[in-house]
Amino acid sequence: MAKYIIMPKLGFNMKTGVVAGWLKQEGDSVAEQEVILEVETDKTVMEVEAQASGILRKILIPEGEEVPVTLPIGIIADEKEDISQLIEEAYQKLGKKTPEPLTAEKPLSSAKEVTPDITHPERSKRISPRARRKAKELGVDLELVPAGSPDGKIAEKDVIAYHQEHKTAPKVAEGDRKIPYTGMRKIIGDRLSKSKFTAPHLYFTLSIDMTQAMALLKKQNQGRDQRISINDFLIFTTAKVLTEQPAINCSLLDEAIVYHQAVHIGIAVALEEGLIVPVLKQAHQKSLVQVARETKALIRSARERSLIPEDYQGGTFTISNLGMYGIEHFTAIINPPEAAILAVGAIKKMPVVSEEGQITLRSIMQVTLSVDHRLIDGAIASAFLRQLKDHLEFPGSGLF
Amino acid sequence: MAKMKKVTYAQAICEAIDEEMSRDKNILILGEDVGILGGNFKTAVGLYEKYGDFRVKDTPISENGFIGMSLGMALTGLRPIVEIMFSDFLLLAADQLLNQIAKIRYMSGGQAKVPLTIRTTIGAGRSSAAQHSQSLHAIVCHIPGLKVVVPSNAADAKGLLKTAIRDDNPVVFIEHKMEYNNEYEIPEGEYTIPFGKAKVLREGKDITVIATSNLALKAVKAAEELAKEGIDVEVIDPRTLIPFDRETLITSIKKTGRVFLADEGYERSNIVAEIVMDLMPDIFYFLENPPERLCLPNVPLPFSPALEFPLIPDQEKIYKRIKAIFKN
Amino acid sequence: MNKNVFKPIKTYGINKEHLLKMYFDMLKIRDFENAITDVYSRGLMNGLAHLYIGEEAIAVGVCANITSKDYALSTHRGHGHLVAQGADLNKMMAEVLGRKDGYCKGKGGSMHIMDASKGILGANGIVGAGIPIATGAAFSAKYRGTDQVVVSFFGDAASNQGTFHESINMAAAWKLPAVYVCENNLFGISVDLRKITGNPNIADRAVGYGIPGVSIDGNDVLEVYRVTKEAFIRARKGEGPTLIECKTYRHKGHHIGDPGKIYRLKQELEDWKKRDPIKTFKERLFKENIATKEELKEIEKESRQIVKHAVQFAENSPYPDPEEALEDLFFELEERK
Repeated sequence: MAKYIIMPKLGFNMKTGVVAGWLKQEGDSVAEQEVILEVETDKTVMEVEAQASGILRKILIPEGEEVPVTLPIGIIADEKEDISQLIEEAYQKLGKKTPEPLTAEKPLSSAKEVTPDITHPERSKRISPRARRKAKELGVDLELVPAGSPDGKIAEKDVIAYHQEHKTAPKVAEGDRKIPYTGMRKIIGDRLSKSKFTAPHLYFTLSIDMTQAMALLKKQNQGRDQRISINDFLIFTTAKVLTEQPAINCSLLDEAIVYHQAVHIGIAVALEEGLIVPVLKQAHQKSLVQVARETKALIRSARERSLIPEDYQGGTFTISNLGMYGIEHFTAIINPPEAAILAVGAIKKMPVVSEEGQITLRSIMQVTLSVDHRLIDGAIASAFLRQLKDHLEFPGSGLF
Repeated sequence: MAKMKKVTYAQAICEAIDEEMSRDKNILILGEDVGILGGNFKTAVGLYEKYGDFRVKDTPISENGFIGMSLGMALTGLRPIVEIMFSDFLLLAADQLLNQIAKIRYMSGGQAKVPLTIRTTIGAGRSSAAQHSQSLHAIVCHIPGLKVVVPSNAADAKGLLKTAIRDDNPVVFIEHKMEYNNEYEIPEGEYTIPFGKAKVLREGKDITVIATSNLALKAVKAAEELAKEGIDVEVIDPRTLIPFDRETLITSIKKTGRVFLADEGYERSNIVAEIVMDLMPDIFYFLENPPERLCLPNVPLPFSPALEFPLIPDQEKIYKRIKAIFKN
Repeated sequence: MNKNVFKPIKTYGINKEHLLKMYFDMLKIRDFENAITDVYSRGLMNGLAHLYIGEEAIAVGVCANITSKDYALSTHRGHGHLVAQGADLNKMMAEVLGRKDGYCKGKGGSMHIMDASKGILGANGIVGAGIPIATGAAFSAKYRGTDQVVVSFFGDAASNQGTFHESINMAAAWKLPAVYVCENNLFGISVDLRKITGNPNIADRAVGYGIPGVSIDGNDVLEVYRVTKEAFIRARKGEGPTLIECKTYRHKGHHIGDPGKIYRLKQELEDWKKRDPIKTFKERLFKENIATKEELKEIEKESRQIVKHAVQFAENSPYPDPEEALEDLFFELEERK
């Protein structure tokens, strides 16, 4: 009764063994339990006993060869038994060289599966998981929720409070036109929102008597190609005053207040898709004529949509003038990272009581300065406006 | 309303043992000094006189030996209660407790049943120093196969101990050594408390405090002080660590959004770390603040009271820590 | 111990049936351990296997005294004691192959086999850990007022564990019905007892505890039987524990894969092999005309059959489902926690 001699597995880490030496030759008779070969593992040499009695009919693996465990290395059978089938099968198995795995590997884990129900983009603010959950539930945009505590953390109650304030969303009715809030409008809109809700805005209004300035400009514009507008004069004068009021000409950048040497004035231009603010660089160094010329060019480029990023970046102060629309007074939103913005209204003829008690008609223009109260406080803002008013009401000589 | 009576924590435990021993003659208690002395903490007073030498057995100082013996007894028809003076001494029997008792039912494919209760003490505060003051219940929680019970007061101790003795599995019953002489109100008569049921000791809406053993009682006192500051604290006593009542804790934390845990074990690998991790999938999206814990610092306990008391978690420290959480 | 000093079988007063049963039991152990070698070599058995080959006389001689009401605790080298106490070889082999039909449903393996229904409180993987557990069972017997006896098997190396000292001290102090059987095969894995023990005669320690201690030839199954019988009588009478040291030698290494040669003297092993307990007992049975060669051959054949059947049974038994891994922790189907 034929039986394979196999390379025995003699240790639980043993994967292969080397036939160190056969102690019997083909044709020898062997008895059960008799030692018939020696096997070398990486640790030691072991004796291997025959598991059956009979004749050692075939040595499949000679001395010195390495074989994976449990594969056949020899055959014990009766003298006359036909073992050709066994030999063939053995060689097939040895050709494969890899013994079958013992049990199916089924990983067993007693760990609970964690399935998050909210996905979050990267945020720099500290928002508690509870707050996020509430925001999702109420449909609140966390970007818009102000932190309720000095450490900047947004808690659930902050989300709820914000939601309460902005709860009433108008419904879409038949015939309403609906366009997606995307693109430039969204970018500008989000920036303005962020500015409004991050910087504590403080507002200062002053009425300025432009009678003298207007008369001066009218005279100068006669016989000029390049007409100089009130706005040009305003930009020019503001730039000069800013060099003397550096506390206004600053920005909040990376947790630091940067007081700029140069003055770059942003000029707000209204386009259909939103507000764009091209910047007049080095405004303080330009003459009034230059200011007029370059401002005109910038505004034209803005209207033609041909501004490059350099044209609308780097401003240190912005002026927004709605005077041409007849608006008397408005408050503007600061253009971050700047610290202030000047909102200019229309010039109107107003009765004014003079020092002597006389009523005269003067051209009065209201300006409103918005400042970021983190960077600028009342006294500084007031000083700036007073100085601006002086310069505008009493334009000096040597402007042209 | 059940009629109440006043007893000490030690008396409540003694009552539980006495009642069970009179009910079932296969119940016996063994340990150092349980016999004639009535237990080093007076938890077996009168039992020796009542039940005799065999059922109230004074052992030699051979923890590994007699805890191993208690396993042999439990496998052959008895229901032993073993008293180990300090949880520190469990380490002497680590093999028998953690490799044998905890595992024998599993290794035998469910053939073995081990109705065994091992009672021990935790807690510092007596200048007993590093080797007699530890609270090592985290270690017995870590090895699968043991139930772990940590009562905070006498009433719970009595009811839970009776349940432990009647349980057909090995139970490690953790008593706080500083409580033994404290008086508590407990119900008259016999009663049991089931495992796996935490108790809300105080309701609140601002923060959930989970505290083990007598820290639960200290947390309640701290909560009363915090209430004066407008902080409304909910205090939960888990009572049993294995099996553990997740539901009560999850419900509470979902309500308050904040969790503070207190345990007298060393901070590193403290059982509260396991509790937080276990609850986290269910509580993460309800948290306002990260969980915080108060435990023993990672040093052996010093001898001098000037050094020991500043380390031990107590009412004052719980109060300060929670107040700091709400400083905004 | 280099010489065979056997007393005539007649002097033991044991009838033929019992003698042949002892022979049969020793054969079963030997065949079973050889079958273990076979299944291990074929890669069917995982973990470690610690063979009892050469020590069969101790298990059989001691367990011939154990009745169905008594208990026994064993070691990592526990197959011999299990077989000698009448454990089911099918379930043993299935357990060793990690199958569903094994004694422990595949959860315990070779070193942790238990048959609670037969009072076989099991093999143990920690050296010396069974001794206190056995002592507790003996305490329980005395407590309940029965005349049960508990046998604690352990090796020479275990006698140096603290548990040996603590347990025997308590058993002696309280006169517990325990029989402590030390199988002294002189080696703890590779460490020679004589190098790490002041007095390698373990039986001498009994004096320290105030109990009788006796040292015998562990390869003489009848001597083992006789001395154990006396210990049992003592125990059942309430006279307390006995320490029996059986001197023997293992023919193979500590576990399969350990040649057991580099740390042992070749000559010593050869000498012990000449005193093979099965071979010498067979000769005695034949020479003293207790049994014929044919009768003995029949027994040998039957033993092989039983073991062969056990291997087939085990190989045909399925593996347990992975879900079962989380079961059987606590009694009364409870949640994992």
